[in-house]
Amino acid sequence: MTVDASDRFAYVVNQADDTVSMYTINQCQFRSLDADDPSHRVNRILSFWRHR
Amino acid sequence: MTPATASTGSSPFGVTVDPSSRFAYVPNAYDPNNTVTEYTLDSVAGLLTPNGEVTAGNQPTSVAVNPSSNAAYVVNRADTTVSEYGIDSSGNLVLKNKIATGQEPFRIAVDPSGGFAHVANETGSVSIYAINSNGSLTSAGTAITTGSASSVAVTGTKK
Repeated sequence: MTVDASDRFAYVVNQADDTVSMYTINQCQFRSLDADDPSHRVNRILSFWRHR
Repeated sequence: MTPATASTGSSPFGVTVDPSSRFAYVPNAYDPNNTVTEYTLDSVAGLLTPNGEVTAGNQPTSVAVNPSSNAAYVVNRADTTVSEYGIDSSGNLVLKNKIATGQEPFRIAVDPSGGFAHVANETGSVSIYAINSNGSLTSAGTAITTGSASSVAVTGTKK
């Protein structure tokens, strides 16, 4: 995961489907740029990092 | 709903945003053409838009952008090199040179001052490079690590 220089946006590469997902950062919480509630996806990402 | 996404090449290995937040780059490690996908970044909306691709060396796994010299570096794992690029005004990478790394290089980091680059080699070392004023790299030695080095980060202050 990468955060831009303004600390307002985050980007996550998805190897399984060859895409990069885009998020806004809202007070240390991720919010998908076009989603109402992406928490399920964020939790999955955080779990990945915890188990590395 | 799913997040906004942009396509990459095959098997992307991370995304790097340049320090000015105008461009981003994704190395496609197992793409048959060994590409790096280039993006423009909308600094207001945060959206990435594909902006072409450039051929790297064999199995590109990591990209770093020099904050002070319009240069980018791509680790080529399978041919143990770093490709050195200039960045044109559109954000596209222009190949200038290649330089050797240790065995099994994986990640690269540039220190915030733009003075040095470091490559983590999974065989247990870090290749160190001085960054010249034109963005080119000069080997500055190797540090031995105690295990398989898979990532590297550098602290410091910006120029």
